[in-house]
Amino acid sequence: MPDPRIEDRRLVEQIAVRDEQALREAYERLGAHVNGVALGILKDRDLASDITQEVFVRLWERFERYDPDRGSLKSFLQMDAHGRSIDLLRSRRAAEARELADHRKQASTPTAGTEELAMGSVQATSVRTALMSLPDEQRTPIAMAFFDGYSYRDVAEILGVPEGTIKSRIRTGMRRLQMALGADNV
Amino acid sequence: MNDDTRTADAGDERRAAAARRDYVPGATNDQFFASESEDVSKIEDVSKILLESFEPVEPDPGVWDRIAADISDTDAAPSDMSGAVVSLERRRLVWPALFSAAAVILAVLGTVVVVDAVSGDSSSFAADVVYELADPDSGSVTMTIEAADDGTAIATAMGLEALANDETYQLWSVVGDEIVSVGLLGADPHEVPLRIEGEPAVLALTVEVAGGVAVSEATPVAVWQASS
Repeated sequence: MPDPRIEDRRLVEQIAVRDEQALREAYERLGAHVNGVALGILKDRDLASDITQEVFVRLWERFERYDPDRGSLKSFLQMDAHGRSIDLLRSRRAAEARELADHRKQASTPTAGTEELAMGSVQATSVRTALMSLPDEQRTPIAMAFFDGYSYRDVAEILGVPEGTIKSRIRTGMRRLQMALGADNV
Repeated sequence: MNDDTRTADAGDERRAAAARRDYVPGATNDQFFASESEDVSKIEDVSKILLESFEPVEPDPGVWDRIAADISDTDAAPSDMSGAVVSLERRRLVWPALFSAAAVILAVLGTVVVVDAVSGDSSSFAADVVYELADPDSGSVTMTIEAADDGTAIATAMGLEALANDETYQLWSVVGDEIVSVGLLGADPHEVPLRIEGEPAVLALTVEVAGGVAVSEATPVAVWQASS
């Protein structure tokens, strides 16, 4: 079985010379992973399709952003999908908040268990277990920031905790996750 | 709200959001990680695991057709590129620090490295010029860049020190009054395909944090400058 990194490099090299078939190959191999992230964040198939389309068009137009030495193409595209999905989520949330100014808190404040809903798309048992093993005070802000796209400031405001405390809790929680999940294997 | 309206709104929202962000290689959610720079590399690792744990879901039928339609509008690259082009950032930027540093270094050395015509004895790459980048301290050549008239080029490192995993060599070009990042060469480059656009006045190699920088303040570790 060929080394995935070598295969990733080959694909992007071919994309660089405008080989449409190479992009198709990347899409067929990784499209479901990209779409899965977008759908997991946005919970909307149409919007997830839009994000998936954008991620691959962007790979075509700015292939040079991918550095094989820094990780797999799959991770790179998933992170792109995550960032774009979060951006879209925030934009929609902001628009929603404007429209529902009188009910701003109801529109934007997560209720109990929201982070569990947000994490519903997390498939790997090990990851779910690691997340659920975190104390609530760490898991909730991580879920709100990573899966729901809230900024530190938003998380702090919603939870009624100082922003510095939120940063510290997220950092501590991420370190715990790193230890639990063996991030060195990424 | 009908589908057309929603699609248009979503597009506007995404364009607005994208305009607020500058995606860089490996960049993650900027607001999520922005003030945790010392932990970014570790957090990125965790975030990759979290993302890989998402359940794959096949995209809806028709997504590929939309992608194919989009990319058909883009310009074609030169069809005769013999090498690949990977890890290249072509950001236009202002970089007085490097330019002045390179100028000072070269002024002190009092030398310029000669651009040699290539005789055509390279194995498969038909280079038209060779740029030799030299260590400013020792004067020894540590990198050659063979370039063809169409911009395709291959950089070959010669005795460059391997960097730590969180660092990368970054190549810069000064063309006119513009300083452009030619590309990231990785922590331990050997032969790297890239593109050299135009006729550079200076080529300089710096050591930067992995992922590269838009504006460098580092002192070049290797420099080539055109003879006046």
